[in-house]
Amino acid sequence: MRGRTLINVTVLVALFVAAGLAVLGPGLFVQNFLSALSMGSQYALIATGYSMVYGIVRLINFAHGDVFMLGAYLAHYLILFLNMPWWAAMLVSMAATGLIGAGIERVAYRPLRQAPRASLLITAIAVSLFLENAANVVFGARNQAFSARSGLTASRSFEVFGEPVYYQSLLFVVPLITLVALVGLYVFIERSKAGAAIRATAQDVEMARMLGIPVDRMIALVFFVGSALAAAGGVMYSLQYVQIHPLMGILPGIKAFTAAVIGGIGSIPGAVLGGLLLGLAETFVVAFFPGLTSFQQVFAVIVLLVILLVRPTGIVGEDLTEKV
Amino acid sequence: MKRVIVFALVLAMLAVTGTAWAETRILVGVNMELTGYSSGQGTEQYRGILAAHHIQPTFTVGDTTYRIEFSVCDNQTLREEAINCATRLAGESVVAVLGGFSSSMSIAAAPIYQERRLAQISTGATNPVLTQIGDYIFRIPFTDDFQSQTLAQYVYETLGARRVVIFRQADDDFSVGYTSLFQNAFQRLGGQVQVQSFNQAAVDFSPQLNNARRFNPDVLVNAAFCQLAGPLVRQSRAMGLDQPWVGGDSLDSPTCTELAGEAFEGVQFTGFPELSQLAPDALERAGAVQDAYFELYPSSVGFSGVTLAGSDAYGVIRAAIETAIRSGADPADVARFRVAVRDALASIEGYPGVTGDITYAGTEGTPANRSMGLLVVRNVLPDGRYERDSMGYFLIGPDSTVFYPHE
Repeated sequence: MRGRTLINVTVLVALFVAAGLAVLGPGLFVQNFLSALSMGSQYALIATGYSMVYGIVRLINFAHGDVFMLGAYLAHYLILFLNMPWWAAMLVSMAATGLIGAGIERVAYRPLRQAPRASLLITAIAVSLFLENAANVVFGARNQAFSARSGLTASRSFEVFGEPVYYQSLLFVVPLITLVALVGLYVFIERSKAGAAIRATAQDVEMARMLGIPVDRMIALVFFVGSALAAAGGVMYSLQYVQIHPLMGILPGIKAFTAAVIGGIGSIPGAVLGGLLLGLAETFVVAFFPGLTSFQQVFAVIVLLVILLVRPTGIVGEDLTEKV
Repeated sequence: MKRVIVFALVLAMLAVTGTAWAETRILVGVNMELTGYSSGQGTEQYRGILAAHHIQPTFTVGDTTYRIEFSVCDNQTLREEAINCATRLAGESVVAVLGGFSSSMSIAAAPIYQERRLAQISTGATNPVLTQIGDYIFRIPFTDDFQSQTLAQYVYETLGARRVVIFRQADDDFSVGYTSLFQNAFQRLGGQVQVQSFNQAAVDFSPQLNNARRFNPDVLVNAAFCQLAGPLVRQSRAMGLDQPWVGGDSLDSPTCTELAGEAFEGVQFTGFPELSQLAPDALERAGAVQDAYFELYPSSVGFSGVTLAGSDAYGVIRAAIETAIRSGADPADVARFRVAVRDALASIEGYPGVTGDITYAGTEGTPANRSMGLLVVRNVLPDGRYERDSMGYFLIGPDSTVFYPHE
């Protein structure tokens, strides 16, 4: 089974590349691929947060997109008032947003641990609305320009088979940072003691508690890490698209959620895979079918509908069978 | 004891309201995009209204002084809220309404004003459809048929372009209307047009820009508002597209340079004439408004056409209200006074505004013979400040529109 899947995937990839080169030409194909990689990495970062939280408390944290927005704004003000370089502001913002995420868990979700799932979801929506409106009041509703001015956004070009490819260094930096973050996450989850404790808690909360694992702290840690990753995504998104506003997290949040579901909600590799796939799909559907540019934003939601109908557990689906 | 407190409170209230009776209040409604998608431009227009109000908040007829006050409703750049605001304002004692900024919001609210016989002066709507809704609907700017056809002519004849790509926001009334008018006009002249669309949530324009690149255009036309127009221009330069950008009055706002930065240098757009192009007394009035504006908002990045429109809306409605009172209408009878204000508005001729002279007499709500300037953005600074320089202006002639370049 594994072998056949590998062959299927290879064939699909080959077809895709061939079609891309034929329809777009090498220059545009590489250009779109870079955009897709960059966009996909940002989705992957946010989607990882969704999956981690779902894996451990079975909650879809609808406020996650707004945590992404907070991360962007925090970095924006750090750069504006303290003149930090963008990467320093990103690191500080990640830490601060992580704390805020853990704080949200403590205040809004922990008291409802024993409540029915619906209550948790409603609370998550409430937190999301609260964050958006608080941001409206505190930061102002106007679109602002992200205050980082890095050399990363300068336009450069190289040649591919004679066709120019235009890019910004940012397009390479984003996947790189995402890779570093995810490798760090992998090492943490798989190799460290705290990571083992988190995995145990995700598997069976009661058992973990009986084994003496500080379950509350592990859950707070997961929220911290997930929110920090979202903040990183927020900063890189703002570096690329410059506009920040209090509602900026809604659409990326929905798309990252879609990505997490595509890959299999609860699975971190699934989230990364889903993010990259969604980035590729969004970019290349519009590249192949220019008439569909108006649908670009809705595309993620359509894919979500299809996945939920066809394969709800996602590609790297979590095994839902309960062991009796 | 309780009765004493209530009595004292009532006395206090009467005392407070009593002192306000020294001047007669006249309430004017404002239905504006103060938050949400168009909050940048909506706020600038509202500030224009307030700046003009700062210069002249009252007027005197006979021995009564009237003070204009505002009832402000934020439509959040949502059609449903624009309608709610209109309904709310119609139920209050406002005698007219200023706003909204965008065609979409103004058109959504207009039927309510028309039905309730309350005059609306839209401060920014350029879609021709708006004033067709009824005789209670007025606007400050020129309309898109004038604007887009003139730009098409300029692009074809003066810039010599034969192939253009026009970028529009598919879910906005202004953008869609403007695009189709421009496309028709340019094709009638013999040029070729490709239309690229996106919607309000768009962030990444590389698909549209890549498609545009393949069309090999001479000039790029921007029919979106600054929230999208700014990033679009910025990304186009980052992607190596170096054709000149042009557009309409939707680009006439500092929000564009705030979001696009230096990429916006050299963008040309049609809009209200640059202040130095006005006649000397108009220039003086405009200077007064500009001073008031920066006195109230010292940290503001720019003073643009959007603000000028707000100022003129206030000026025009103040003049209309004064005329209505002078002709004997009683402000206390709100329903009849609204009709009187509307009639006074409809008969305005040659009101000296900062966007040029405003004449509603003989029109269906759009000021007659609006002059329109061709502006260019120069010297963009990192914080978004820029110079709004004039390339010249357009005048409607007997047969066609003539462009007078700036010397």
